[in-house]
Amino acid sequence: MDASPVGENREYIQVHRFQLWFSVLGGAVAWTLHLLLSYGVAEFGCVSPFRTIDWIGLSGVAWLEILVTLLTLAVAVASTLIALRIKRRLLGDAAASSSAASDGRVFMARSGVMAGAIFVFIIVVEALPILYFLRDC
Amino acid sequence: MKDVKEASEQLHQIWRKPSGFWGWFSVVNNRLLGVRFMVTAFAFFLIGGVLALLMRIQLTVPENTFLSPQTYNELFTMHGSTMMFLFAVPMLEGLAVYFLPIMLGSRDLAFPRLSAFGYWTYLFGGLVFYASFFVGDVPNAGWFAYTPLSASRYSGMGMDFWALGLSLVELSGIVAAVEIVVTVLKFRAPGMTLGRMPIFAWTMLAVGVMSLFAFTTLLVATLLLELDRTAGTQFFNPNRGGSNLLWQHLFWFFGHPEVYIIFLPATGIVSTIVGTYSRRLLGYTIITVAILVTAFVSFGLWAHHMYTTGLPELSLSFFAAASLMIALASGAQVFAWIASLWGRRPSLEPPLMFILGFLVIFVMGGMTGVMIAIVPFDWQVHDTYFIVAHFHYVLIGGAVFPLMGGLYYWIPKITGRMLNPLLGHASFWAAFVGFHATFFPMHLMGFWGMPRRVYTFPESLGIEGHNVLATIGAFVFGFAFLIFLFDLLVSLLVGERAGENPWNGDTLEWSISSPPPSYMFLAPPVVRGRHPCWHREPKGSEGDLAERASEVLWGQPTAWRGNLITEAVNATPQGIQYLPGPSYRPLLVSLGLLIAFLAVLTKLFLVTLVAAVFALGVLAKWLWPDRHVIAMLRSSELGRREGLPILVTGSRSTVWWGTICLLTILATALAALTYAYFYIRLYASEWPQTGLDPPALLGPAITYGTLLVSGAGLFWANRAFRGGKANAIQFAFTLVVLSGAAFLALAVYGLVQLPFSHRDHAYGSLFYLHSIFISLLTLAGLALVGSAQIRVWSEHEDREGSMKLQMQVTSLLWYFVVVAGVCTFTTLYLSPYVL
Repeated sequence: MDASPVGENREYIQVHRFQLWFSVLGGAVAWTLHLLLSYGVAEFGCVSPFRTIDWIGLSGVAWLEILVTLLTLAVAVASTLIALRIKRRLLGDAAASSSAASDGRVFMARSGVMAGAIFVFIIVVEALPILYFLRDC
Repeated sequence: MKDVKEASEQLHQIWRKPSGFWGWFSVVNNRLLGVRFMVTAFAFFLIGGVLALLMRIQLTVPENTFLSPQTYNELFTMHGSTMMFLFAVPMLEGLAVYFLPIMLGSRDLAFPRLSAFGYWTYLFGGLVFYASFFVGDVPNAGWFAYTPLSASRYSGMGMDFWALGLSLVELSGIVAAVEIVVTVLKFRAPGMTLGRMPIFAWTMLAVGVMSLFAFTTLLVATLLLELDRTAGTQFFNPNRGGSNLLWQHLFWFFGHPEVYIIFLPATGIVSTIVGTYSRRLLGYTIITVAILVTAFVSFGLWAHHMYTTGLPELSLSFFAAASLMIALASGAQVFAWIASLWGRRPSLEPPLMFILGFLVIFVMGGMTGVMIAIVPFDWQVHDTYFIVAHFHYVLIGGAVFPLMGGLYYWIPKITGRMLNPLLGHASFWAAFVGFHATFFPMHLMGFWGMPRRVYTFPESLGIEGHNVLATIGAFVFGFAFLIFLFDLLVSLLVGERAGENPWNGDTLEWSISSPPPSYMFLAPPVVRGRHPCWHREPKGSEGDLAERASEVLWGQPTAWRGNLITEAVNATPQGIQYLPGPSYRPLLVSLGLLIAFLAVLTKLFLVTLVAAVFALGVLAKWLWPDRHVIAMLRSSELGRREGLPILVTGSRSTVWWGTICLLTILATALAALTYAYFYIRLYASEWPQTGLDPPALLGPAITYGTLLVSGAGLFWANRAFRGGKANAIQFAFTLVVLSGAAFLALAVYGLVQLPFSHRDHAYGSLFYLHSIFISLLTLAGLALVGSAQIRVWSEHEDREGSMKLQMQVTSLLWYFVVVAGVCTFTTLYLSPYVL
């Protein structure tokens, strides 16, 4: 499927609708998952025997938090890169970039790059406290 | 071809408001409802303000006896609840209900009757709140209603008024959210791509989506509270395995986004006014990204209201980080506004003055927000007046000042008359000076130990002078709004005529007369840039679909209310939407709900049942497709040659988008209930509680298996519908209905057989609630499936129009019921074996 308009832009660059929306919202969704899962792991892990597990100097809770961070960070980075790619593709085509139809998609991709970068940053900042809680909650 | 006058008159006949006294109750036009929302909200604002002044009189001197402790508790509860629930959100909703369609180039909102239902429900909710004064039992547990203070052991009937009134108001907020989201996505002028949308529309889109999640969570929370109070459930009773902290989690999951639900539209007003006065708005993309980031991150801050409740420190650190990070988004917007104004010489008229006042106050409030995001600092000031100062700086600075700016900016469009600039300046300076005199000293009072939510303070604190100043400031601040009201009255009587565009604004509302005509636009305006009133872009080619759609709808339709539907991203024309006219049904459904809720208060549960059945009956009549309308639309030639269908289906249809919003609401409710289950399970020493065995699996597996069978039946029905096989459709539908009914019967039988009741412990309460929730969902789904089956049986010829849409909507909802059933089975029956 493509978010293409009807009856306009004969030289229309196809962008899959899912890709387009993922490029805008992927970072935000990744951050949401990061916060909810990190909080869930802390809330559940810190009252369970899981906190006493020690592996290579890190508690079980810390390992899980690191895993959650890496996974969600990967999603956020992927959405940012996809947004960048879509933006370059659309702007590379002069006919498309000048038309009203591609305007909306270029805007979405550009927003996706910015939002993705911000959410990557926020996930990293949120993960920093894990370094202070390597063995405890 | 008709001339403009003739076309205007024909459209006016279709769009005009119903006449007469009774007609007033059937109005569905967005402009009229928007004004009603704003007037009602402003009335509540004045009442809430008077309550605040009474509190300030009490706190002028130490050990004052002007108010008793009980009365003080009641006043601060009603003040907070009024300002948060009855003023701030409805006021901004009212502004959106009025201006969103005009800004987007549309003739009305997507679901006009839903707007009317939202207004009546809001009004009745507010009246229920304040009815508590007449029975002498006023809510007194704070606007946050922390349990156990709000439990029946410590609070009287007043908290029932609070919970039920709030439920009605939240329902209104939720329907307004659906309305706003669908309107922004589907009712934009052709050519108004997402990148050309006014910032105010962006903020309202974000707020609409946020409200779907936030208000639903609060609705679930207040339902649990009211069940604890009236039905004897144990969700928040620690003695029976419940948790008081569960209330705080659910409440603040709504409560913090609520701050941004209020703040974001205000930023939309700021961007609009800054853009107009500086003749530019720098950082359009940055601002929209900031709105997106704020909308998401605001949900990740709920626990920063709970730093002192003993959450794991690791959890606190996540929320502290998120709380600090949201300042990035707000800061980016502030810099964009300053940059836009920088180097310009804007005329310092009242709208801009209020915006400049906002910038000063909000930045100060934002700075203290960053301070209390830091956990150790918050521990020190948590229950002091420092917090009172902070949130008034954020909420009054962040919402009331922009709102006042917005009123000075847009009232000329609403009334057609200008306000007096001199009185506007007087109002601004009284508000600005009075505000700082009231709230700035509170920072210091907080540092010196003045506790919040307490009716007095000891003389030994040495803060008498600060409190006297705060009280004087509060009266000066209140006086500012009297000046505004006087200004408004004078303007209505003898104000200068406003003209079409008195501020030289750039958005579409300034392209039509003041006040706007009933139909708003003679034809959908074609938008080719971000500033349609500043830069008249050259017309597109003749083959351009946007131009053709605009021409088709020029002065049309004249037999029914119609509006152009456009695609969500690029606003390409997709079809023509029929919009319903005046109706009493929204009022009747609201009345039914009001009576049902009031009957709960008086424990007349039979009346509740009758009123609920009445409301559902009217709702069914409201939603049932009108054959005459469908026949009229089917025979219409409008837009046919241009490929603009009237009976659209799938993602082209506003109904489809409304259904997606409904599913979001239901999914959020299910998630909140599931969270409640696992939260209580987490802190339970044994599970199930009181030594019960985990529930048996075989019987429930058969019960919930019937739901899966019904899902398969619906899949078959859809295939048969697409293939036009009438008999197969009926067989498949019958399978869905029978298996759904079997599920209901088995679920009810299972509940009756349980060895515990909902009163015994929190586990029992949760078990019953989850079971009843899925049963009610199934019942509603069955009603939809049944109605679809009847239509398919009685109307053989329609396979592409409204019946196809009904099949799509029914399928979406029924598949959701099946998924919700799987979630419920996993939570109630499987999880006790695993966790």
